[in-house]
Amino acid sequence: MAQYIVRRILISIPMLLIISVIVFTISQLAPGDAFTGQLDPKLDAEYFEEMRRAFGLDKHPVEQYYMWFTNLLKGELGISFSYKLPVSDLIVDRIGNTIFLAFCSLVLTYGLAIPLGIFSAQRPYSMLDYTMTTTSFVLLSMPSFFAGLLLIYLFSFTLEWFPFSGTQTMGAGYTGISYVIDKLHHVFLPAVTLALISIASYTRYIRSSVLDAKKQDYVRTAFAKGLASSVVLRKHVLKNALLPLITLFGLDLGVFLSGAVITETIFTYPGLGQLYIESITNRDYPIIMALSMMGAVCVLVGNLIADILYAVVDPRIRYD
Amino acid sequence: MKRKSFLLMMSIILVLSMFIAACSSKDAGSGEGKGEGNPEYGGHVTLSMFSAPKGLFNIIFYEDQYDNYVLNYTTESLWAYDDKMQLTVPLLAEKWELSDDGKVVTITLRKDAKWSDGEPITTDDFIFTWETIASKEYTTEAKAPRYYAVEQIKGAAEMHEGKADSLSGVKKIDDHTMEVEFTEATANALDNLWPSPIPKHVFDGMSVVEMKNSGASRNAGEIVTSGAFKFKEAKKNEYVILEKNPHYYVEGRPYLDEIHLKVMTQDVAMGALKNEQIDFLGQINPAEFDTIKKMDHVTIKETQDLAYQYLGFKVKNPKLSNKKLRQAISYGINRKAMVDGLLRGHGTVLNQHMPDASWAANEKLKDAYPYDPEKAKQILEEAGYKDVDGDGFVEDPDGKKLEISLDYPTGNPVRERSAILIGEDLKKIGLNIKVKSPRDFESHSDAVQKDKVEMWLMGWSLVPDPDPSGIWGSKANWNYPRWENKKSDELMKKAITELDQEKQKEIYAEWTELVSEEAPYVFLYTQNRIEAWNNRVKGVTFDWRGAIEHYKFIDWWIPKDLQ
Repeated sequence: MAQYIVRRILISIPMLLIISVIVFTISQLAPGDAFTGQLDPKLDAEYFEEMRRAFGLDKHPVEQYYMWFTNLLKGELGISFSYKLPVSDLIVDRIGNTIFLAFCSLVLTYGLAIPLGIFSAQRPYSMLDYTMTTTSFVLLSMPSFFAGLLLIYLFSFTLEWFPFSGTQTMGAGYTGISYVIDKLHHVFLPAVTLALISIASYTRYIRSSVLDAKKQDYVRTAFAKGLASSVVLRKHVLKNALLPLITLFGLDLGVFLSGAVITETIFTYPGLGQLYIESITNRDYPIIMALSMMGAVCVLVGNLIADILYAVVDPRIRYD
Repeated sequence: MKRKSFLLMMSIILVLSMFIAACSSKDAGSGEGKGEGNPEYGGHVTLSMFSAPKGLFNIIFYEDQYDNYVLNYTTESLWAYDDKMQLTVPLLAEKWELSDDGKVVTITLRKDAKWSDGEPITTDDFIFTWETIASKEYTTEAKAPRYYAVEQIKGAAEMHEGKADSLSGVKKIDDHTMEVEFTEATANALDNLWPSPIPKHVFDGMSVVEMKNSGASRNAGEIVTSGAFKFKEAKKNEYVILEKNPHYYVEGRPYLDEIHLKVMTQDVAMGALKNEQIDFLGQINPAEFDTIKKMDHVTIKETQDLAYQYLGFKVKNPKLSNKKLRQAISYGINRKAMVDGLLRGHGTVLNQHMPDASWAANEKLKDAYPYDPEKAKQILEEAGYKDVDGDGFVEDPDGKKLEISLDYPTGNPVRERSAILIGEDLKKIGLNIKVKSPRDFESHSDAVQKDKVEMWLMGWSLVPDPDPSGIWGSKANWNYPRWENKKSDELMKKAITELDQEKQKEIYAEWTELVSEEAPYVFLYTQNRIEAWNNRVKGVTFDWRGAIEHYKFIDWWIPKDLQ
């Protein structure tokens, strides 16, 4: 097992290298650079030449990549063109918000999807099951920008229950428990928006997984032994049906970053997703590179965790 | 059956609840009529920012438009433009006088002006500010963009090249009087001169990069301001709270205690105005005008903006080098339909680089190039553009097929739709126009800058100073049509060195007519600047620059019972 993990990590290194080359190439292929969009009749060509030189944009792309890479080895992510600040500072400012959002959305996803899925599987083909299935499909097919705006319209403007932007109340200066409550109050709508799609798919997943388990021979045996149905459900059905969920968590790590891109933009929630979108429009490639690589690392690590957990929860799977 | 009816009922309930939600908007706090009463102190207004400020709150270093938006309330200038776009309003400068040859200006500062920490604002601060901007490190190390604003001061070039440590053209007479000498006498010397100081007593001794990165440029608690408000709290990427500057020199101003600026998307800002969560809304789309006008608690006003949209021609492209073709296209586009249809009347058809609101606008061009497809066809015919092969499209005078492409960017819905209309209109006069798929603005801009397009759509935002040489000079970076014309260069040069504004206006009239005749652009339209605010805010001044960015925000006040 330990050998397997080491091997996987070693394989990840060339993979990350290739990803970085691809992302860099794509960001170089996009027409224009960080200064193309800056139309100011007061600035002359000389100024732009000077800026491109100062940021190394006049160099050959290969050389630019080499500079980026050597800086990375030194632990530096470079200087943002538009903020003119170290990329690491920008990420540190925002990463907490994104992790908090992803965490709340995960809690919502598991907290709702598990009971709903089990409930649905307990009464298959009932009216409630159909309602839930329909709702899942509606949610699955709803783009998150639309869901986000709909939630803002209903809960921020009409009912005025939740705020529609930011992470805390302007100038309130809360501390202690009221600070936490204020944060939760602000993160609620974005977390729901981010969770909606995964709640829907998880509910479907759990429903079918539980239904499958219920058809197994050992469940019939358990009933034949005369066990109460609640015990059968808890000990035999759920244990087998829900274990694979643990592995889904690993695969979700990367997904949450990508989902946050749209959600954070709608709710002007200052996290990494919002920064990512902004850096793409600004052709701010030090940020694009840093965030893409972070995403790649998350996905690779998530996959590794998922694979390891498979082996842990399912003795039939072995890695040699 | 039972199941179906349940689903049906659910959906009816859902639709109904949305309908009820739509109707139950509150209508509190409607306007109190026109008699505004006596100003009262206290309270705060809330403004929206459509993207987060970058947090560089230093007037000589900022580059982000929302950093500027915030700084507008915390920064005082030497002077301001009046409602006729003339630089006549004294602020920090009590008076100023140009020498007869126009090369030296003597500026007298107010003696009572103070920084937000109570220190007096003196000529030392201004000289320090100008010398910082002129220094070599300002551009090369701090990578800041404002050297152009001191360039015309004598000695600036030497400092910029690193050959001098101070500006030879600036002379301090005493703490409140100074002389500034320009390298040449120009009509817009004062428009171009950097007008806003940074505090010397705070930044002295730092290198330029240290100034830019210091807490005094970035941390709310440390920033010392010259304007009516100072920073109370700035939450990165979320909001900024400004509070009254107790040392502000204007007696009894501002009335407001605080100004709150909050980041939210443009999509939700209108709802926030309706729900009274924000007090001001700018950059309103013409399509939203009527909806906002219906809100009882809101005042909405519009004015012609100092920005315009145009269709450009790469005049060096052989296809487009014929002036007659460009003129025919100018006649062949129904610009009035764009203003009436796409802008719903909230705009004006434009025929020149100078907007109507400017004193330099040429009255005679008001109706140049009316929509006249027949005339357009006639011009094409006379110039030899005929449909030889009978496919419905004209060939060029050599009989070769003529297809012209039109590029446009995404991001401005009105402009995107105007591209389609232009394609349709030009088809009607027999031109084969290939309207390309829109690209994102950066890609479009890159193609335009590198001359990889034929015809394209874009816009300019102008400043009150009418000097067009930055955009129209034959060698200018921003001369995208690559239109080179000696006469035009001469006229622009002549206008800028003519100190009598009446004569200057005549020169600009000649210049605008030359541009109109040569038609390197089809000027399309200006979209109105539309702004709205909650009626609880009184004392709002609105003119060509709108209300939100007007220097008279210090007069805003809110009645006690509405605070």
